[in-house]
Amino acid sequence: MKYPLLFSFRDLIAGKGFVAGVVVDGRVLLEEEGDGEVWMYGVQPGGVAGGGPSRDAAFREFKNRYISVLYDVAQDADSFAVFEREVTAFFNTVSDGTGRDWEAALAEVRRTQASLPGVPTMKAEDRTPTLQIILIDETNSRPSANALDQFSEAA
Amino acid sequence: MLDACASGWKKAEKTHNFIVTFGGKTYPGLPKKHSSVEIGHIRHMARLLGILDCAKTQIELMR
Repeated sequence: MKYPLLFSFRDLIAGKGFVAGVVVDGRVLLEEEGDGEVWMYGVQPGGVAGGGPSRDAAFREFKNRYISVLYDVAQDADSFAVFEREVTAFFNTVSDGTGRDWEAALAEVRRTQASLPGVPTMKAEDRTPTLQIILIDETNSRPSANALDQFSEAA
Repeated sequence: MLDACASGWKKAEKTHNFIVTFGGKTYPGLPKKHSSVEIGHIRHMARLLGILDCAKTQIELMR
């Protein structure tokens, strides 16, 4: 079974002489495979995936793989501008094939009303993929920017 | 698999991942530390790079 998911991640990434806030609303396809594994395949950003023996493990691994790419970019970027450019390129890499599966899964869950237990639902059109990269300094550093990771099922 | 299906592919080693590039497309999230469930990463990368049809047989042999 495949489920179309939406995710929201808000992270602070330390770079060389800067701290960046990376705010992402993305799309990921959750696939429960026959061998008991659960995989999450990124649609946008498309260059990342994560899997595990359960849905929660797959959620964690997907987030770990996503953040590891941001850490790699931060390691190489000599400035905030380079970091911003490279993270934008990462985010804008869409997996077209997985995107088609995501749209098909969305049509299927709308038809069957299938849902993942314990996962909130959200209308897909209400959270389209977006990226914000913010240079953090003392003027815009506020606790209100903190947010937990969120996964929702697109409906 | 990449040699057979993505002639001219390139790999760059980063702190946490390999970045694989082919045909103007880049997959930045191939883990350096493979786990027992790595086949999903391979499958997703092949799909993003546009070589899944060619790579399918070899991916199945990895199971």
